[in-house]
Order: sequence, then structure tokens, then C-alpha cells
Amino acid sequence: MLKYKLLEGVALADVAYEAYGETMEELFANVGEAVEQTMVDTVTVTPSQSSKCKVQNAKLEDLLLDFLNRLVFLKDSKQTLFSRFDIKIKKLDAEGYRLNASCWGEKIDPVKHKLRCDVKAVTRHLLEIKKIKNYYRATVVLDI
Amino acid sequence: MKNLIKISDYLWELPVSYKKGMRVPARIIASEDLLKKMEEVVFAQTANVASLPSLVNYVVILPDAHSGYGAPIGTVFATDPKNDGVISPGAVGYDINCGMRLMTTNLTVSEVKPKITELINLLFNQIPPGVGREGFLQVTYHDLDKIMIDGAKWMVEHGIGWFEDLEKTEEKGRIYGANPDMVSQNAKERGKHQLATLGSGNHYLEIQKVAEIFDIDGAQKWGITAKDQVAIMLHSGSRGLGHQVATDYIRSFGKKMDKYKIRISDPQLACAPFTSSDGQNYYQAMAAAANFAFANRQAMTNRVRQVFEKVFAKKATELGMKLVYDVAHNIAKLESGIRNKELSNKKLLIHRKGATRSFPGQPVIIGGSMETGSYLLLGTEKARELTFGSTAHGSGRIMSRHQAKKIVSGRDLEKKMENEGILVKSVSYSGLAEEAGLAYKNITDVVKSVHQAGISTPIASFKPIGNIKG
Repeated sequence: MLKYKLLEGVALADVAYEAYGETMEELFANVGEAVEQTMVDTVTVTPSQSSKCKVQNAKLEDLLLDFLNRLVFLKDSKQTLFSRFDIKIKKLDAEGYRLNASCWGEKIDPVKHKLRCDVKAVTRHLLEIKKIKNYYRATVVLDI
Repeated sequence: MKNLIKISDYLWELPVSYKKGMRVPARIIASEDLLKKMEEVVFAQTANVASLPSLVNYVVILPDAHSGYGAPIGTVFATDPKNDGVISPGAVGYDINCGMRLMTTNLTVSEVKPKITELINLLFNQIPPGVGREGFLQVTYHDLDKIMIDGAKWMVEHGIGWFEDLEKTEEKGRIYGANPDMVSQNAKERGKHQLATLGSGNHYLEIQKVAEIFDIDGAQKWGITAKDQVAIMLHSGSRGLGHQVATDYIRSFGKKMDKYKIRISDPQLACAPFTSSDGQNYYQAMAAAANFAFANRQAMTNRVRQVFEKVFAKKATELGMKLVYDVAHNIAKLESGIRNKELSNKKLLIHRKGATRSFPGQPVIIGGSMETGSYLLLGTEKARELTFGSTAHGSGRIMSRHQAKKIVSGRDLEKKMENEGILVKSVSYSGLAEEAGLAYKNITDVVKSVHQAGISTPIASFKPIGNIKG
């Protein structure tokens, strides 16, 4: 199954993706990979250190936004990029969803890493998660 | 196109009948050709902006406009704070106070060309471009708070730049009312290490030569004296700090639309009354981020001067490295003297997203693609009548990044530019290809539109001879 693809004709100066996953966890990991791939060729990022990410939100779309925003935050605050994600999502009874992720990567090294374009923010524009038959599909637009 | 009403060759109106929910029309400044090049989405997004409450007169769309989210890039609108006027973080944009800076030198192309490789290499090292890079200027959290309050003034007071630089910066490099307490810890953590870093995407630092002078007196006044004079142009913003402020407030405002009984067509346009506590909190945080951006460009200016001093073994003062001006193009500000007698004494909240202030006699810097060059213009009285004292900010994208990469490779582009006499150094070849000249509208057409519409007057044009980008 395709992990994600670029969407043309959505945001001229920015980047839009459609990502897929058979499970919600796989979907989140694939969107995470799309965000990282925008910034770096992730093949060049060794998954040697892990950063924990815990977020909770009432809506799945907002949970995805929180998770992706965390990746953008860690890129600037800890200068870290990631190439692998271990994700667990739990449905809570009343309060929505909780995500626990281990994000694997390393500190930015402009010599080692094939860097691409900075992601400034994950927007709410066209943000959507949809169940299509036997898989999930997410749409995200990144400001770069 | 069929919905647009032609007012003059360079002014069009998108009437409220275009889309249900529009409260005011939109006025579009563009030649017919540039208008045709605008994507249909631009008009749909403009209609969404025109549906916001308490707008004054109309929404303005500039000739370099292209689709964004929420508001198109190239949008200006005004709200009246005393009449429940709103502030919208999404209509300012993620890169708060992204802006342009132009500096002169008294050097000529023939003096700089032999040293261009050394200059570009040193600038590339001294002002780190690209993803997640740390700058050389490390500050404490206490300093960071002060920087958010005092902006470029903090830098100058700490020996980073000249006091006269502040006189040549919009708002003197410091927007009043900034409050670092309204900026999240996450935002501070993102920005703390990024002072004097360029960023990526369309951000650049360029060594340019004066290509043409259109108004000799006007140019002279701002230090542009002759063709082939070398100048330096900078395009950068508030880095991770500003991006996080926007992210935080777009998120929190989204949850408050019911509270203020505001209906919006796009969650990116979430807004709150300016005078409400939510509105004030965002304004104070936005001003803090804007001041960080002014400080960032000030710190980079200082680095550029140091590099030139090293390479030419002369002081920056001897090299005539004076600031021409520094303008913001993603910002919301309280401004008066706008539009007409009725409103001239009223302070209106002007949102500019991909738009430059254009007050009478004030320098306006319109940055083009790295291949095609840039312009220096002056603001006009007519801009106050027509566009809330605003004009264009760049050449405006016409092709997606992906499309540009399909057409041109970064390596080929680097070669082509070298053949044209432009030395470019970029963190990534793909990033370079994304910014190819062919991905943008013709900047001369954009400048012609703003000139013909009377909202700014060109005084000189510039061509790159060296460029660094993220």
C-alpha cells in the first residue's frame, strides 16, 4: 500500500499530502514520515535516538495535528529529525484519543543529512481523516 | 473572470454577489494578464475573507496574489477595533513579520565579482540557512523576552548594528504592546537558538547590483547612486518562534468561534474581536514575534557587515553599508491616516498577508525570484486611498514546488545561473529547483501593475550576482 502522495493544485507555495494506513497507527506514522521527508531524505537519518511524544485530544484530526506539531517543534527546539515512528493510539471513553509515540531519529547534521525544505507549520487547511473501505486516509497541508 | 467588474485597467472588483456570505466586495489590483494568471482558488479564498465580520470597505488583493489557506497570499483588509473589528492570526500568516531588508554598499560589481565566491561561502557559514539550524548568537530566556519587547533596538543597544538602522526600519524595528508572557514556552524554545538564521523555502540573502534607476532623485535619497552599485537584500522572518505563535493561536481561536458567535468558512480564518482578551492576547504575542523578526534581520545585517569587513579589509562604515529600509509583509498593525477623510483619524487594524506597507515616500522592497531580480519603490498617497496604505510584496508564485522540480533540476539551475553571472549556494538542490524563476510571475509585470494603479512608484531595480538560500 502506498504510504503517502503529494497533492497538486492545493497550496501553490506549500505542500499538501494524502497519506494512507490500514490502521490509525500506520496512518499517523505515514503522515509523520511525509512531514519528515519534506525536510530531509529520511534514508540519511539514522534512527539512533528516541523522543517520546504523548498527546491527547477529543478529535482524531486534532490528535494528528498535535502529533505533527510536536515533530515540527522537536525539529527547531532540539534540532532533531526522525525516520521511524512507533505509535500507539488508544480510544478513551469520554475524552477522545490518546497517542503515545516513540519517534526515532537523530540531531541535524548538515553534512550527513540530505536536507530539504523547512516545515514552518502544519495547517488546519483541508485537514481530514477518513475511513475508506478497509483503510484510512489523511489529508494535511504544510506551510513551508 | 465573468464575475469581475472592471473599474480601470489595473483595478477590478469582485462583487458580494460572487459568493454567498460575502459582506464586502474585494478590490483586485492587477493587469488583465496577471488577473488571468490568478488561480480560481484565489477568488474563493478572497470571498471567505470578505465574509469576516466588521470589515472596512473592501478586501484588497494585490497583483502578486496566489492561493494560500484562509486568506490568499497578497491580501490586505482593515477592521475597526471600535466597532467589534476582529483580528485573525491566520490572516497574518505563519511567518509573522516575514519581511525584506535592503542595504547599500559603495562597491561596484567589478570590485565585488572577484571576491564573490569568498563572500558567498562566508555568508553561508555565518548566517546558517536551512532546516532547524542554530545561529551563532545565543541568548538567555531573559534576553529573549527583552528581544520580543524591544526588537531591533535590543540588538543595536547590544552593539549588534547601528542606531541609524532603527530609523530605516518599519516601526523603528519595534512594535509597541508586545508581551512575551503571551508567547508559549514551546514558541520560545523553537526560536531561542535561531537568531541570525535565514530559514528555508523562499527565504534568501542576496548580493545584488543596481540594474536600472527609474527616479534619480528618489534613488539618491535612499542611497542608490549608480548602475552596478552593489547592494544586499535579505528575506526572512520570525523563524520557529513566530511559526509557533501562529500555530498556537490559530488552534486556540478555532475553539472560540461559538463564544463570539462568528461564522467562518475556513478554520484557518478563525478570529476574535480585537478588543476581547483573546484578541489582545494574540496581538501582544504577534507583536512579540514581529519584534523577534526585526531583531533577527538586524542580527543578520550585522553579520553581513562583518563578512564584508573581513573580505574587503575595511570598516562597514567605509564600505557605505547603510540600511535602505526594512519592511514587514506578514503582519497586523493599528494604523491611522488611511483611506478617506471620514476614516483618516480612526485607528484601523490593518492585516497584511503577503503585502507591504506603502505610506507616502516610504521605501517598499519587492523581492523577486532569485533569477529575475527585485525592485525598490516608494509608497504613495494613493495607496492610502485605494489599498489601506499597502502594495505588493514579491513576484508571486505561479507554479507549485513539485511542478518546478519536475521541469528543472537544482544542479542544472545552479549551472544556468552561474552562466548568467549569479553564484548560488543552497542547502539543497531540490530546494533550489523549487525556487526557480520559472515558478514565479514576471516581477516586472507585478511592479507595472502597482505603478499603474498608483499604489507605489518604482525607483530602482536590482539583479542578483550571488545568492544563499536554505
